[in-house]
Amino acid sequence: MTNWQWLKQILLAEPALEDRGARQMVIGVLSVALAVDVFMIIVEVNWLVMIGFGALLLVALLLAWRGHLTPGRLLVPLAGLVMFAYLMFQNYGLRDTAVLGLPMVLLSASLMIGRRGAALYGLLGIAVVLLLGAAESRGLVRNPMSGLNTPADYLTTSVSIGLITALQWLVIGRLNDNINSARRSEAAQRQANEALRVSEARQRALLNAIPELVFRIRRDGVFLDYHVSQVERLAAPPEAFLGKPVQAVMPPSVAEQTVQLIGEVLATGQPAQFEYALSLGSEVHYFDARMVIGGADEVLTTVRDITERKRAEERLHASEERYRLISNVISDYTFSTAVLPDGQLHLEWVAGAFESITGYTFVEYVARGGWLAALHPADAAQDAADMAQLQTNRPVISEVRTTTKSGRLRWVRVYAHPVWDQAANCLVGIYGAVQDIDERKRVEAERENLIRELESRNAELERFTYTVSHDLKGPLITIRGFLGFLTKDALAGNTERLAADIKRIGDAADKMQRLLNELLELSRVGRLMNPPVEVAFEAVVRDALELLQGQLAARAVQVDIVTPLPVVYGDRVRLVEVMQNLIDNAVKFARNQPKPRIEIGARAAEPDGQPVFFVRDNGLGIDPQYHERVFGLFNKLDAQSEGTGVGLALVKRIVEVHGGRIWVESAGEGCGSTFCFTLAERAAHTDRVE
Amino acid sequence: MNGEPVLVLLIEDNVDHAELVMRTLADHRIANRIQHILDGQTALDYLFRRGDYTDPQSSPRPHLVLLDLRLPRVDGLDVLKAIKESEELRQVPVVVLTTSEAERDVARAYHYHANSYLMKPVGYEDFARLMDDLGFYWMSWNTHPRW
Repeated sequence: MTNWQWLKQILLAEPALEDRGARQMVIGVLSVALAVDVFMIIVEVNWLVMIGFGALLLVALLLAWRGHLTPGRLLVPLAGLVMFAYLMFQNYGLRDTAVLGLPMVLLSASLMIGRRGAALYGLLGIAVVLLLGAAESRGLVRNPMSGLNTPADYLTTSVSIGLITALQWLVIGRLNDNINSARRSEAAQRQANEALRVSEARQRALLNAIPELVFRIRRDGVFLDYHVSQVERLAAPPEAFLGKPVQAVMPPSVAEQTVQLIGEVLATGQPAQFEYALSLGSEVHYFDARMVIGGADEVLTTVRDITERKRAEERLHASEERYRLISNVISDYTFSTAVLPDGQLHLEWVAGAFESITGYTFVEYVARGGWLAALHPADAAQDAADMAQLQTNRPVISEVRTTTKSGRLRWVRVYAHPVWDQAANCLVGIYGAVQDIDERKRVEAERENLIRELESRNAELERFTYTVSHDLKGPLITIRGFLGFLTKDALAGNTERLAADIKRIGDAADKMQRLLNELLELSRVGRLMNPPVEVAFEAVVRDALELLQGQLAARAVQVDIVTPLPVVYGDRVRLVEVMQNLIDNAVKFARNQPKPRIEIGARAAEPDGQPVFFVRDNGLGIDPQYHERVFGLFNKLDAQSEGTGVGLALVKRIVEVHGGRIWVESAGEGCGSTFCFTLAERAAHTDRVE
Repeated sequence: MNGEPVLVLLIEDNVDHAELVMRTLADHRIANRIQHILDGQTALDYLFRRGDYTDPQSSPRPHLVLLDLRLPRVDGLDVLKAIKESEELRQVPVVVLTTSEAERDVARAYHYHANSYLMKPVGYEDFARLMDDLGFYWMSWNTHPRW
């Protein structure tokens, strides 16, 4: 078996495929040669030699079939040449038909090997003919035809073979040129095809990489073509829309918009963009379509599914809306502040109702100096105490005032929690919440005010009933007492004291009436008020002086008004009443002076710059121990003085209703006295007067 | 009863009331001498011999003080308090004679050791009767302190 291995290998091994054209040529030539050979065998011309040659051809053919061309190429022409030369020598020399084999060998060689083969076997053929001629002429070869051939015959035959060789050379050269040129052109073509293929593949990859659908749509809305990286991306199979108008495929609103935009794009040449929603299955999908001009009568439309983006946008929007709602609803904001090693505070973030509480944006707030800059100076000590507590790792709840962007003070409640660095054992941050408690504080203050007012009203009422019972009873006792004397005197016929006693009774009744009137007046203050107006204080003073004119003239009181006087806001009639009472008082105090003098003016001595109105006299003055009592109901400094003791109580009440306060300044007896009072600013007391 | 002249210090800001008191007491020929003072401050000046009353001749010790409560400048209760806090004056009987019916005034008057608290009656008969009884009790039956 091993003896056949090599053959098997050659025959059955994978063929070494060389140039396909060369192989076909070799097989063709060998096949033709074999056919001729078989014919010779059949006609029994030199059949023994022909069988040997045929066997050689068969082997070469088989090898060529398997792709091994070299044996056929090299051996067969050589063997053919030798065979034909042998037959010529052996049989009839130049006249033997074997001479025809020489051109055949030449042709075969040229076909299988090329130009060089033609040249080689042409020369070899000439050599055989010349050799034969020489051998015959020398008588070395003998055959029945010897002697018939002249040297010219040999030469002619040689030249013929040479010519054939030359022609063959030229033909092959020409053929080779053609083949080469064809090959080159073929290679170029192949190269171009390859480049095209690569480019197409690249474009396809590029198209596939685009997550979009691309449609070609005609002016009338008919879908001409589409591209999609994955067919699954199509909402409908291609046959459902290709060749159909958009109106038949899309919902009316989308179709209408599409057709309109196609018109616009084709008209203007400008790209267009629009978004639309489609219900696909149970879900709504959102698409973004961009349209560009794609030809004289068509547009290219890319469609991208933006559902995810839309959903994200919706979620973001919902989240923002929720955040905004929460911020609106809660009155607090939360914060985180870093405490730097140098003790500086660094506000890191805020969340919640920060802007509505402070009025600042975060950036504005930080730029302005943050918490400490906004803190009301009066609460700095409180804040410092809070910080000290945080520095000991204890949380703080504190109520302080902060200045908002609009400049107004707002009460806030701060819940601050320390962020403690256990390793370094120090405060590194504060987080907490700030609550707007302005309204609560306002209500609290209002409630406290009301309570205070109520308490003072109660006390006043108590004093009132007490003093009323005392002071109203006084005249009554007088009246009844002197009526008794009158009766007794009348019965005794004693008329001496009659007139004086009757006068006492009359005066007591008058006093009682005056008391009742003034008490009524006092009770009206705060209840019955005229609407507040802007009025020049000087006009108020002039009005009061007008009312007291007679009294002032009778006592020759010098009145000095220190101008300018500010404009005030209040119940003009009541303010005149105040000035009238104070000037009246001053006149009484100064009545014993040789040159009674009253000074009226305003000074801005209050810490908040509010004007202090004053009425100064050069009278007897008031001992400091009585400074409070003078404003009490029925409290009189001088038993001899006329008046009921209601005047200053009334003045005090009016001033208080106007949101101000009243007091008296006097170094003591003989130093004169100055009655001072303030009136609240417009905003502060308007609601009270209502 | 003794024939010694009795001095009453009447501290009363209402001149009509003072007249009523003095006239009724005179009608019953009880008080030999009545010193009327109009306000609390003057009363204290008299009692403590200050200001216009530094001379003891001008301010003899009263045997009885009739004190109204609501007085100008210094209140009647403050006068009472000053009298009863003074080592020298506390033995002088002080009778509060006032229009006030307030419980608070009654309580405070006794708190400051008033010797009696009388409300001025409205009506001549009652007033005259009160003065009569008052005069008889304090100036006849009562043994006043001696100085």
